[in-house]
Amino acid sequence: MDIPYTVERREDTGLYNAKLGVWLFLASEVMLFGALFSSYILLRVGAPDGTWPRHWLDYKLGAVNTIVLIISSVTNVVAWANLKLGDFKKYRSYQAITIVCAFTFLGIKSNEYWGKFHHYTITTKAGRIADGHLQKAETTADKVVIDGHWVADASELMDPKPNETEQKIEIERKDIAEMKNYGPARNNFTGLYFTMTGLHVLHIIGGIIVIIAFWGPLSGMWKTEPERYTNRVEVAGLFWSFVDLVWLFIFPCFYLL
Amino acid sequence: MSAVAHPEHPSAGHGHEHHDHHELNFLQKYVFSTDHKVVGLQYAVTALLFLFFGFSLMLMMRWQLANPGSPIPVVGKLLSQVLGEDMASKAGVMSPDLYNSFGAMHGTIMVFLAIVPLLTGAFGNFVMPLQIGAPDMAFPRLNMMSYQFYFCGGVIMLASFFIPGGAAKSGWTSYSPLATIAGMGHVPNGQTFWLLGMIFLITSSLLGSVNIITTIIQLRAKGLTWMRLPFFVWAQFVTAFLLLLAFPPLEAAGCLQLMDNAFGTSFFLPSGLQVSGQPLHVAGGGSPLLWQHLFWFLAHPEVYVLILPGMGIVAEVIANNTRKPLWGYRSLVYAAMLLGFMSFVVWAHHMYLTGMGIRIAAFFQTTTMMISIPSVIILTALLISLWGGSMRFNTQMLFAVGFLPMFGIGGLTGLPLGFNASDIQLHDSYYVIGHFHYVVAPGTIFAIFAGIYHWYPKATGRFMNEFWGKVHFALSMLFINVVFMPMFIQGLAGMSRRMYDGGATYAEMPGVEGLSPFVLGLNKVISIGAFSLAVAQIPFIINFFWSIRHGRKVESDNPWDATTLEWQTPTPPGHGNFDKPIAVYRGPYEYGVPNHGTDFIPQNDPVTPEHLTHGHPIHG
Amino acid sequence: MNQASEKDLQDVKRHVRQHLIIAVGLALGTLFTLWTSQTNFGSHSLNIAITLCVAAAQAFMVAGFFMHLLSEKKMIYCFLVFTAVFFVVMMAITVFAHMDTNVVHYQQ
Repeated sequence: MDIPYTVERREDTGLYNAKLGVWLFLASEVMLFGALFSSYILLRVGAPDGTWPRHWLDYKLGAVNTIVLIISSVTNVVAWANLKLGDFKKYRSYQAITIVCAFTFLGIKSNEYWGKFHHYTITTKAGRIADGHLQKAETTADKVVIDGHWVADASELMDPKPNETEQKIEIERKDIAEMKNYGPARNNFTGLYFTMTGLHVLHIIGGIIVIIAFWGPLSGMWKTEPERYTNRVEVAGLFWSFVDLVWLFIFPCFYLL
Repeated sequence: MSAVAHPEHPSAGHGHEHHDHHELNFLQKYVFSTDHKVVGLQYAVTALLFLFFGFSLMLMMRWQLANPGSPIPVVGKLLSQVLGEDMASKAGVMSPDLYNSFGAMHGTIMVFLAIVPLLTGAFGNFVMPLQIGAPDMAFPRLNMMSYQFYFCGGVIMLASFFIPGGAAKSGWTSYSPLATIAGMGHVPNGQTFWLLGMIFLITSSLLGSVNIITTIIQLRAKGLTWMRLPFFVWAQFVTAFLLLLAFPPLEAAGCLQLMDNAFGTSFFLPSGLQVSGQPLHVAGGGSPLLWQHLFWFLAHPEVYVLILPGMGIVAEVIANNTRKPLWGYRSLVYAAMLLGFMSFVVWAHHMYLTGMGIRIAAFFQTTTMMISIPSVIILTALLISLWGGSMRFNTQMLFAVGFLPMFGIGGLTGLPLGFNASDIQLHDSYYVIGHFHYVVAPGTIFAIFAGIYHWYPKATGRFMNEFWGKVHFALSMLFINVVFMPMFIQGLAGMSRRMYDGGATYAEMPGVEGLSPFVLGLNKVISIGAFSLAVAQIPFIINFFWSIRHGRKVESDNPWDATTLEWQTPTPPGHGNFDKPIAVYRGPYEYGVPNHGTDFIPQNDPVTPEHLTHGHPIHG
Repeated sequence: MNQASEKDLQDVKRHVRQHLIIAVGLALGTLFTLWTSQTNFGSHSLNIAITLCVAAAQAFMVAGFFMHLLSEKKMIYCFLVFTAVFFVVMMAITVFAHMDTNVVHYQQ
């Protein structure tokens, strides 16, 4: 016996199996990201004054990424709509835009991550604090060169002024008491930022791999079983929209508030 | 099944790989099978092996508790050779670290690698599609993948014993900051492996629960309305929702703790921590309580995952062997749903001693008291179902009936733990261990045994030996009580859990109140009980394997004269399960039918005697 | 291949237009939150409230239209709405539990 309702919809639910399956999966994803958001809230609310940083992320880049994902979400849905109409070519063009948007997002994200890992706060043995981006070309075994500024007090780092003039600062390695970057271990803000956006990136990668697979190597199914193919595209699209939805919450929580 | 044809694509696969058009090789048939029955059996065998392994860990721990500091016979020296001398001394004495590892892994393995995979992966996969008249699960390949993830998770967990530093040793609850600090000497360490293993196991669970829920909603046979489902299917349905919604927060917490362990974050590490007199170099500002909230948010629904399918099995066996319908079917169904829902709002009763405020503690105490209501409804309905029955005491019925008072004891002993006042005395004591083991060990495991004896003929075409089954029951029943009953006494006397020397350090001394020799002496009694319980399983293990080839053959597809659909298939069921699409005409427990010839009517039998009012013809 | 009727064509075109409008709405919402984050309203909590409301509205639009949740059977989206509400209640309980405690995580 064949498994029923893989393509046609069951009357009382109005769904085919994969659609119900993906919505159930998305419900579990809501709980996953929800748990992380609630951890964010608890840790932030519980943080004593002055220990939770603000303005550590470039909101302009974040906004661009948000718009990019919105565009990818709508082109994804329009691509599916065209598939329902039977227009395979239009589906491919719109879906191609979705894929380009996804890679744009990943590119911008990688750039942001790279920036964080190369942004250092150096405390000298004398107690002075410098903060800036590592200049790899000029840094040697003896000295570290950063493009940044000196800070009078560590608390200034928690909410940096927006238009600080950057200058080249050279510090001998033997004078360095502590050198830490803005990676996950810096504090709970960066820890949560990397964990949550990292998990989100993994979902973007997973989603786009599936979308590319259907767009490219597995597109042969359009000729043999078009309805089933359309359903698969729809299900992948639901996941993709969800990933966009999560970003719509990540962006304000980390970049704006 | 759907009567809708597929006019445009008569030759297409209809969304399902039909493997009976070509021969499958060994790997496709037995290792990477997508058939729910094969996957179910894979889960069963793997999970039973883990059950045995977890049991063995406990046996070694019980030796240590009864005879602290003395070498473990037979395996002690082997432990030392394999795991290193910091784990077990050359003479074979278990170190405190090893005891803690065994304790943490016993809990983890039993809960996540043995019981849940048996209940949902084995019984759920094998029996449920048959009981709803489906040809397979909704997503057969997903099913296969969920087993593969489970297997990988299990391998990772086992591997953790052999890496430097040994397996995780911070309890199955893996509380921070201990969970992060305990493994700091080694990278990677057992705790990291534990977290990775959990991520695999949680993924397996999620895939499985999506499959189970979709299958039950979408693939029920024609005429099988919700209120005609066997209670076992309802139990699997609610359980799958618990797994679906409760596991992700633990996955999130696991990611966060993994970040703490491996990447130096401090989500759960507060500021100012000192380890061995030195301040810990982390950013701090984290919250150990956050881990507890996230962990128990899963772990409480998890315990209902551990009991509900067991209740489902017991319900099936009782209905079948009393030859009458279950009492209060609707109450059972609504109670199961209420139990599932309420299980999400009681978690902090595991955290009464963390300094929670009075209001929030009162909230959780109230919900905890309330959740005992659906539990009692289910137990009472099952108990009343026995009244007036024409009892048939085969092995599965013995286990099912034995389940009832055992679960009763387990549930009742939970009440003092649910009240936060009495919990002050009992928290983290042996009383807790007694309580939860009563629910899971003579509770769920007895239900699992009942299920094995009951469905073995359907899976293999042969009966297990009845005599040895009864021996297995009698000895298990006796010794399991010898093991767990004394723990209540120890707990009430104040004996803490997780003490590697069995509390010897806190023995009574002249002028000092401590653990009396009687209480400490119970350790020996319990350990003897445990070893005897181990011996009592030998007839079962032999019976299980011997009967595959030499058991008495079944004479019909329905040897127990049961009403539910799984008994309407060939034995064992072939690919696709049912020869032809099946339709259901009546409820699941039409037993004790008067003037019918036989004393039962299977669900798919269209015959409607005039004086029967509750069977009616197909409606869509 | 699928032979779409004229009515289907119009239907889908209408939906596509709807999606584009929603997309523009989402983008505007994002820009709005950018503007509010740069503007001082007196209390930071107000900022948080406004931003989260906009984010929730955006989520509703993505779920309702892009994921066409609103065109599914009522029971389906009612269940999801229930899950969302339930989840918010869970978070509220946890935050309340945290606030109702005397434990200090941070040593001064």
